[in-house]
Amino acid sequence: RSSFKKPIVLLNGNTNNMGDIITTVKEPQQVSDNTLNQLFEEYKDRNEDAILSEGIVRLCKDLGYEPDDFAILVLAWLLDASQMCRFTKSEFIQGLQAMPADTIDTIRERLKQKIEELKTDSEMFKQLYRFTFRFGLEPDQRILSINMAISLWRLVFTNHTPEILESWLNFLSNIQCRGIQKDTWNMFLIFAETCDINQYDDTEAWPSLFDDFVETERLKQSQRAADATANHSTNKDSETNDIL
Amino acid sequence: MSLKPKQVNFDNVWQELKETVKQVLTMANVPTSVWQDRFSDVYSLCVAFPEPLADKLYFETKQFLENHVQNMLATQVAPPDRNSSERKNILMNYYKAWSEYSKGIEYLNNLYSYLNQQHIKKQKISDADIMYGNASPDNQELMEIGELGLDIWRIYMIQSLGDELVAHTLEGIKEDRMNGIDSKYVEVIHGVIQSFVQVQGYKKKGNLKLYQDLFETPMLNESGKHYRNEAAKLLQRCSVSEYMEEVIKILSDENRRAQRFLDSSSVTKLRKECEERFINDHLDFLYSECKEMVSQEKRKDLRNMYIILKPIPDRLKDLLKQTFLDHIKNEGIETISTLKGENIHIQFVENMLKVHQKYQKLIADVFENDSLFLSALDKACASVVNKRINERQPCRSAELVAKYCDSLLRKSKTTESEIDTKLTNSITIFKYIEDKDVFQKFYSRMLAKRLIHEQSQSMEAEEAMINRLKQACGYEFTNKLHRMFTDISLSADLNNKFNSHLKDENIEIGINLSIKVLQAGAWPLGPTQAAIPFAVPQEFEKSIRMFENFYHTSFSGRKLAWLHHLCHGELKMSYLKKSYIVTMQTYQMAMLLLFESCDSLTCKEIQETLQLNDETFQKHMQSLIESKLLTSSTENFERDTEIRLNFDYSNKRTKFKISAALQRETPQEVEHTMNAVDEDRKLYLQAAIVRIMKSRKILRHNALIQEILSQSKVSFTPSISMIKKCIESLIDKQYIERTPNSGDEYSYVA
Repeated sequence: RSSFKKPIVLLNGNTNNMGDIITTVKEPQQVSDNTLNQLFEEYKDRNEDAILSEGIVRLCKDLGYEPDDFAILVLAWLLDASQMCRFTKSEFIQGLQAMPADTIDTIRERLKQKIEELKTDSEMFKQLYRFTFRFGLEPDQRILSINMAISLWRLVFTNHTPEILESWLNFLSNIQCRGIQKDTWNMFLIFAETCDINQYDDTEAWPSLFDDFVETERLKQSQRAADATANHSTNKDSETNDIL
Repeated sequence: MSLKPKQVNFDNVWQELKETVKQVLTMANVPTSVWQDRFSDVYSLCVAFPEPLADKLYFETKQFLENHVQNMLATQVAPPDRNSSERKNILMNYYKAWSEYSKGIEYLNNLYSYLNQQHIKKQKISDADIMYGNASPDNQELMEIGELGLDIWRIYMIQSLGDELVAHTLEGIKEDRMNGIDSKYVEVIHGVIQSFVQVQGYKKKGNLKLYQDLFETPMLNESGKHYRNEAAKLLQRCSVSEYMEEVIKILSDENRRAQRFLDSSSVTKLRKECEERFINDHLDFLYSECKEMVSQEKRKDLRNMYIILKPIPDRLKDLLKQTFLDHIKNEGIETISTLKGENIHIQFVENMLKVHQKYQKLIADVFENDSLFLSALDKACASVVNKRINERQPCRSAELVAKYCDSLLRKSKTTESEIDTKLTNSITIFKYIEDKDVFQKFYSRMLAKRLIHEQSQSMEAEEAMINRLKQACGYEFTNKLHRMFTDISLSADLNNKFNSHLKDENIEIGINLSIKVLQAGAWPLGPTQAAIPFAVPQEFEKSIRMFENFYHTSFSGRKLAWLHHLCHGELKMSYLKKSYIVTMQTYQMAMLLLFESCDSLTCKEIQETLQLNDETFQKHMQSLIESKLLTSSTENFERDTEIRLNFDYSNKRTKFKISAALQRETPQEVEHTMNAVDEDRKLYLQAAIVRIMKSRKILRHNALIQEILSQSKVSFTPSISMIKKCIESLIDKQYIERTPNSGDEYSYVA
């Protein structure tokens, strides 16, 4: 429920940084196609008219991020990439124009800026979140494999991790499941933000995977409670034994 | 006598008239001639010339009546100097005076009828004026003489004596409650009370107001006080059971009392007061033994409880109803949880019926077939029938009831009429089943077996049962059953035609053939079993071909598939000392027929000739060995095991049947049926969701769930989670989607 509030606290601690960023970025009104083309050529695959894995790794390195960093997901989102490990020419050029950015430095600054905005703007985050599902799909698939879903969930929630995320991912890795449907993916954001395990009503419109999850969680809770009372009573027993 | 207006001397005429008026009021004898003269005197005063004297007459008469009543009050009813014993007689005196006066005034009204009709009616306010509120109540209107007289009585008699009269009547009623009073006195009290009503009887509006204000309210208060005391006294000494009896007695006494003393408008009010004080105020006490009464089925107490609680609003009866419901439920669960042995299905249905009949009768005897209790019975039975004994397993009731019907419809020694009654009764239990689709699946499978293997007791009984189911669940539910049934009767026809066709064409096929043509969609025969490969023995090859040809000439588009595993035949064996006629399944017959030309064969030879798979071969060979018609060289059937015809076979019976291993219900089959039901349900639900969404376009989650529940109610009750899964799969297939910005609303994707 409070997953969006936490980052704000973080943010307050970093306000100096923010100021720096904003003042140091130059605001180019228009980026020239020429520069963008040159930039694209730099990372382009030898055989195909797109930036593929190798180029992306270099791009990441130049930007100063690991390829599995949250920032790179944000980049893919800003470029509206249709597939993983692949930026087509039009995606790359149009994306950078919209940013706008035409050098490695400006891209880096834009990314930092966006990441800060994402920490507070929940509507923007929702767009990124929904993009992430599409981004993760194999071509011609409608569902996300469990392993891919787990990594993407971790990644997309890098900056504000919902409380239930770990138990949710843990739950997913322990069940037999065909994969994650788009609806389940989208609903999880709402579920993570608003739902309380103890108030959960499985007759409501939640996807049924959440029903199973909540049931498992409740079972764990009650087990923990039972263990606690068991411990308590054994303690008591030993106490009474002591008295005797 | 002339009707023409003339000059009249008012004083002279009034003198005479006054005398008669007095006589009329005191009920003295007035000769007819005098009456008629006075009648026309009134007339002539009203039409007098030159000035009509009607107003004067009215005024004088009013004056006279006022004096008369005041006089009665002072002399007859309540003389100012009366002593206490006379005081007691006030009711009597008042009653006498009232009886005389009220009758007299009625006559007087007649005497003045010309004045009433011509003079007063004209000035009277019309009904419409009263309705639309044009008339103010204080309007100095003229009243008809009768009304005037009553009003004067009210003003001079009742206003001054009312409270005293009421006190005495209440005293009288109280006395009646304690010791009873004689009927004469009752009449007096009743008369006095009625006078409060009658004196306003002519009024169109609020004619009970005087009665209510003056008498009814204090009467109800007094009675309430009395009831409260009595109830407290009873509580001191009575058990619940005794208390109820007392209260019922009091209620009926009070009812009779109310009818004797009070105006009829008060009867229900007094009853209500009585119920409040004796019942409503002490509900906790009444309920304190409710549980025991129900659990021990104390009919008399329950009956009393019902009588007492019946007039109380429904909410208050809930506890009795709920206790009753729980009681039935417990008994039902007990009766079905102890079932054991082979014929669980018979015990289940008949025990449930016993419970149902027992309580149905109890409700009729004790609760007057109150719908509240009948619905409690239904609820209890439904919850018993649909209870899962084991949480993990599905409820077996549907299967058991289907089996019960099967056991009745199969050939047996039970008489037709008994079967009929039992089947009719089984519908009672059937109606409580939630999973009617499960019942349908089991029923149709069993029906298929009965029809194919000709095990039905009678076709009439089969049809009657299908019709009963149709009545309970509708055409859709029994559609397939009907089609199965029709197939069988059409097949009989077809066989006749085929035989006459053979005769016409002079074709000899060497065997007696009876064929059933079944529509693939209607019969629950399962596709898996149909595909067993089998080389048809040459003995039937020709007949099969002939039939196919014959059939295709009539129905060219249809494809016939032979279900040999469901067929059987009779084989006559002439190689033994006696000849035997044996009924067996097609595969067994095919195996035996191979021995027509030799006495021994290896398993390999048999299996390869017939092209049977291992499982089918093993099963049917086993049953032939067990029947001793064949002998085997080894225990297990290996490829080179030698099978020989047993020439030493003998049997006391010359006509018998080799038991068919196939026909028994296996657990796999039950599971198979349950899975098939599950699949059907998912399809049904998805279709329902699409249908609903297509017509509604946008619907909230809960509304959709409700709609689906109400649509599927006829055949089953889906779990919410099943509905949700269906919704999800439709979202995934993009038939529907969630509306943007709302997690619990769906819209139809066109």
